[in-house]
Amino acid sequence: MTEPASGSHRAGPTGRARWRRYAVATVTAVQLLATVLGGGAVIGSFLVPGSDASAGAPEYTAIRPGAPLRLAMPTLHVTAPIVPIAMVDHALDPPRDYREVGWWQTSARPGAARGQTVITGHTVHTGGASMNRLGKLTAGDFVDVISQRGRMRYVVQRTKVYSKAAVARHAQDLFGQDHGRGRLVLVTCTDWNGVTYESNVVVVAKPLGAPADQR
Amino acid sequence: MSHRLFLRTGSALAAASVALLATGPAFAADPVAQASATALEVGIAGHGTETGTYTATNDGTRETTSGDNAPALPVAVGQQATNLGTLAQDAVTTTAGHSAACSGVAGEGATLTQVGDGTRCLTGGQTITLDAAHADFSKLQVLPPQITQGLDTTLADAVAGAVAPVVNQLLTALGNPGLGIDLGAVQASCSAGPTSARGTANIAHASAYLQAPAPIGHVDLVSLPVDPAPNTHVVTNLSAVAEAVQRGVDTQISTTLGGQAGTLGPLLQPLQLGLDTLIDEVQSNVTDALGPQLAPLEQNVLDIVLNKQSQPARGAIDVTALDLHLLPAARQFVDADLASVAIGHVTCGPNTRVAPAADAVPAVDTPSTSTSEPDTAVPTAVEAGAGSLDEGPSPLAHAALGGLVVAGTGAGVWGFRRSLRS
Repeated sequence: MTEPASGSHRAGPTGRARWRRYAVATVTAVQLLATVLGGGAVIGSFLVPGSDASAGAPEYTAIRPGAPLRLAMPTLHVTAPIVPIAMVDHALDPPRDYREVGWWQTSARPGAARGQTVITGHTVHTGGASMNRLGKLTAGDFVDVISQRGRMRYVVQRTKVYSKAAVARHAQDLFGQDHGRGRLVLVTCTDWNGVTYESNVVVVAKPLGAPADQR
Repeated sequence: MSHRLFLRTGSALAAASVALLATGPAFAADPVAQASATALEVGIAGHGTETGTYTATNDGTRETTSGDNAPALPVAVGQQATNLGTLAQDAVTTTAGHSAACSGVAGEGATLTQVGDGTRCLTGGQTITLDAAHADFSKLQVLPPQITQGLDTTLADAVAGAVAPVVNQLLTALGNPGLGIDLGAVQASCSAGPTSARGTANIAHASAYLQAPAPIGHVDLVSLPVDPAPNTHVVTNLSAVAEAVQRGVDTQISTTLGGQAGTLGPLLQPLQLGLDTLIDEVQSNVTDALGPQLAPLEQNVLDIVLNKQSQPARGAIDVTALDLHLLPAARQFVDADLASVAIGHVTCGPNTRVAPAADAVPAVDTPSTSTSEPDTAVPTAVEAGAGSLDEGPSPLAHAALGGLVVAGTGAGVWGFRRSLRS
């Protein structure tokens, strides 16, 4: 039953069908042109040297030190407000709100050339805390700290688990402010034994600067 | 079960219960950690009002609190504050002998954050406007003879008739201008461990001013430092107000006599006196007349201590973000409903360490700590883990402990009675 109709199409399109074909062909041609031009521009931006920021090389600029406001760990899909915390009896106790993280206010501010920025947040055994998956960060992952001065980007250098005693032994290295060149130190707890946490997981990240396109 | 075995079992359980009681810090007399917070204390016309104090104490096993950590604004204070939107007062303790508190006030739109070891419990918000007092200018007046002192008699009547009404009209119009205090978020926080305590206060955009009708207008009295050092003392007077009143009166005299140039010209010519000289002389006369009346404004009016800190005991600290008093000297000239204000009052400690905590980590080089010691050491422990979103022993643990105590004691008593019968 459909054959005669089909045969009539093959025999020659009607005026309306012909116009439809022209329209489709025109749209397709425009799309192709746009793709070629757009692709050429992108490729050209890599091939042709110039002063444009999109020239391909990573662009980071220095920012002035500023109090941190927010932590972003894109790999973990985590962002958390940062509040300043103080050391009490030689211990850092993160904010009680497990969604927040605490910046040890004696440590370096993001953007500082000296010292190290120490940020700690809770791990909660039942889940839901900002730093529950901190140990999943691996070398090469980016971590951003947004301060009053802008967005400071760091690249993770190492993730290591320390026993509580080891943290005490390496306290000066991990938290001391006479070294570090502005690196970021993230700390939370790990090794839940059913009653308490036996260890800390520590992430050390090197400062890159403020991404030029996200300041 | 034989009688003897039953007796032994009961006695053993009773002894275990007693041992639990003896070793359990839950039953210790002194708290191992304590903190308190009061958002606002106000003295109004001889009586005080406040938001109440929220306290937290910890006996080594659990925290006990009293008061309200979501305080409401006292009605009497509400009349004095035109934009006092958010109050915060909270305190927490841990079983390991740590405590922290934070309190303060902020204007509409401020955000509350939870107290911990952070330094702020309020962020953002509009400016707080406190209607602190009203200056009383109702008794200010300048008499015609005072205005024309030293002037030729031919001029006196004309000058007095023109100047006296406008000057006294201006003074009357001053009425009772308000003495206001604008503040950003004002808050204090403290934290304490078993051996040390520290506190801080944050104040933003703080100033005192007087708002009078034109031509006096807004007169800035003092700008308070942001995030002040401990025990920053500020005393201010209303000399700027006195100067503003004098300036306003001078302007009025100059305008009035300048407008009378046609009338005064023929009177000034025989005396070889210029109009400007006359204006200067009249302004000087009026200043002499007003000076003694404005003198009380030169005295200290506001006595303010910012970030007021004291150490009532070793390992304890008492912090008040802003402590303001209207000085008695001001009462001569100021209708003071609001006599004193204390914003953001917190206390932390003294705390104790009841036993070596399981999670305590020995320090590598533990420096000695004192209440006022600067924070130069590094942390040797990071307490960043929790079993669940609740703190402290679980309800099941409490129930188990309570059940053991009751069962052991009951068995002991029953066994003792059986032994008496046998």
